[in-house]
Amino acid sequence: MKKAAYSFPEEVLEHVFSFIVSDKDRSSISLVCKSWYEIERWCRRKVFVGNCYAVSPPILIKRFPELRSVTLKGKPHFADFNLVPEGWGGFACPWIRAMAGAYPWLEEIRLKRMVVSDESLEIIAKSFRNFKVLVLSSCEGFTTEGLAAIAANCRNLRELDLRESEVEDLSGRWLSDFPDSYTSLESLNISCLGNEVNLLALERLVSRCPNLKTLRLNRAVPLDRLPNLLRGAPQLAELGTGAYTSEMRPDVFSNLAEAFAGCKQLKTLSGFWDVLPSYLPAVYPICSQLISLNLSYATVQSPDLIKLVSLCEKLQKLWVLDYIEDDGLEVLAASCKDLRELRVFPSDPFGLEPNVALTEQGLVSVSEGCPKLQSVLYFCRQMSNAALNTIARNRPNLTRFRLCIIEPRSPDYLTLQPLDDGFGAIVEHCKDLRRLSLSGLLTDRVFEYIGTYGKKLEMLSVAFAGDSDLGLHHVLSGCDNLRKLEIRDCPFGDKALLANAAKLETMRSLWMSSCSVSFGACKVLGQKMPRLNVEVMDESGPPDSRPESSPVEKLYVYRTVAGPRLDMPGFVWTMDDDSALRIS
Amino acid sequence: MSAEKGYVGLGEVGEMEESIGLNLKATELRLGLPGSESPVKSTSLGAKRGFSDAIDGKWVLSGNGKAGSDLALGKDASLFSPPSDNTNNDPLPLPQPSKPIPAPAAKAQVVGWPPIRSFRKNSMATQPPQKNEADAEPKPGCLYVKVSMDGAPYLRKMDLNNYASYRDLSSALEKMFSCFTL
Repeated sequence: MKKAAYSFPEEVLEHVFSFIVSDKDRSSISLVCKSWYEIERWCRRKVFVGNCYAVSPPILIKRFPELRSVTLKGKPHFADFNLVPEGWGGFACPWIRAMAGAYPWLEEIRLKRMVVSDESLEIIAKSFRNFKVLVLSSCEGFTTEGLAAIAANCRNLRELDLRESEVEDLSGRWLSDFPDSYTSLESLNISCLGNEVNLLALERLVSRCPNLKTLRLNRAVPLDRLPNLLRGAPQLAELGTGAYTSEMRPDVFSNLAEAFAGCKQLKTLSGFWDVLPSYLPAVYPICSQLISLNLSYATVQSPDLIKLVSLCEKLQKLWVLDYIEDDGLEVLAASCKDLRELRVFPSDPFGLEPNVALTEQGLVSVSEGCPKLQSVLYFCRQMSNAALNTIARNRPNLTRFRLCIIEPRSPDYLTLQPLDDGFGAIVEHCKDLRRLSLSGLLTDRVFEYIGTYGKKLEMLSVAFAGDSDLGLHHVLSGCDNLRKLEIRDCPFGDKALLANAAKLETMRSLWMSSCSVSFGACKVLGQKMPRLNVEVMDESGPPDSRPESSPVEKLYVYRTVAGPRLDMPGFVWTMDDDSALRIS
Repeated sequence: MSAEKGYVGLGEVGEMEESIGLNLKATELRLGLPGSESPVKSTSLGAKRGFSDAIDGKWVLSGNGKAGSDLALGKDASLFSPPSDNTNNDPLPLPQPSKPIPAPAAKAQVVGWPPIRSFRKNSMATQPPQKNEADAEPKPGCLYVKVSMDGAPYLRKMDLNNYASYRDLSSALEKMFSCFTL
């Protein structure tokens, strides 16, 4: 009977494990003992791969033979801002091919910043009988032909989300390829498509899918077609409008207002391209039920914004352009006490002079008025240490703080001092801060603060900051939980990098561009650290055609168990153990 | 650790702080005649010069914030001088020339700054086209906007990329809507 106390039937353990969903916990379980590792890997259904080059398809498949859901991320974050040249990598095809063979019952594929071809989409469409979810976030490389294959073949598709992908829009016809018998759509996001889709097909699709909860249209869907769509899906919870403009006619307006009022479950609104302000009141009846509002494409002025926002008392998430101005943010602070996330985008980022009355004061108001505020992304043209200090003390519960002062190296506009102390206050008071983006005039001291206080920091973005390697050293040696570090145009070089080489194996990745890291140091790093891929990018030619002390253009270092990748374009070199450079 | 002078031509912080008080426009050094584009010469090896690279040969700087590169240009003006003697190079404070070139609608752009995604930039592109440097993101293939005129029975779509100036745009609009009588 002693034996029974020691051994638990596998099925029971499996059943228990099925309640553990977080990746971290699953990882912990697998480390307990060999038999738990085995049981766990057979019953793991969901995997998240934060860097597709950290592991390879065969390795994934060998360890987890029964996956139903795979998430992959490709290019580094700075690819969003055109810092990663075309052709760099992040190709989805090898993964899709491998999974097509290994996981016939795969249900969900989520890809971010990857290159996806029509061929890959066709393979997905034909290989997975129970395919349910396809999310392509900031991806590129496919056309509407690939989408047609998905529409035509995936009988059980629930979610098709193309958020912010670059799709070659050949024709809107693809939407008609969903068969008439297809009714399982729950979520559709086509907001990134440039051209018109077949509107009749869209209307029919929407009205025959009773579980459709999320519908994000593209700009090309005219406003006068929206009421029909809404009437076909009164159960909608999330809506992204198309262009929010039409010639002003009372019947169009009342039709729209009525249709909106009919959507009693609508909680999230987005879209609003080309807004004609006189049409905004059509959404007033549902404002009180909204928890998320994305007006970041709505080029409307402050009074219209203020009126709209003041009616959304339950708002938790607001994305808006800086047209809202300080006044509007003050109203937001007074009206929306449940606000958790605020993003303010610049309406004229490249203009020389400020075009709106938005300053640091707006953010201070919101930090004062919104006790639940956790996540901030704020573009502005002036900032002060005093304001940052106030914000930090008001909101120690901040978890994400991304500030972009538009002019690089802008000092505190009141004192002309660096903004070290202000950001220092942020990291000191916001003890749960996980993500931070810096801007403005900053010396090594801000990095000392970050290294000292930023113990929970996982992601840090730095641009045009610091004086010396000491800055980088503070961060790498102090931030215990750092996973992603991205740096551009900072005078950080070899010493800090090499002194903290071991740290890099505890992180997902490090990006450094337009810094002072020499080619020689990259080679040394690559030699010293076999479990890191040290990739040097240089579009002006092979780095070994220049002296070893020459700085490299771009450096991307990431940990991997898959060795150097084999799909690099001509302008990327891996510094590996034997320091051999691939001749392009 | 000694400060590493970045190859991007950035000055030290101390110098930057000094320069903020200076009226850089008054001591601005220009190579060549006002309005002409001076070739940018670089003596740094290989890699991009980042921020100062973005300044299009137009040395008219806004005088705030871009202190580092201002200083690099001011102090190291010789880096950028053409090899031959430039007799137009006047080290004394220059009188402000009236600009024969139109004042740039936007500042010279640094790649990827401010950090805004392409999708968002393209969506906002109904604003006047900005001057981009060659390796900034390419203009979208079509920049369609819908134009609505009071009294016109329906909207018209037009591709902003087809019009180089406001005058062209305005006459095209006139033609487009001229068939509608009020």
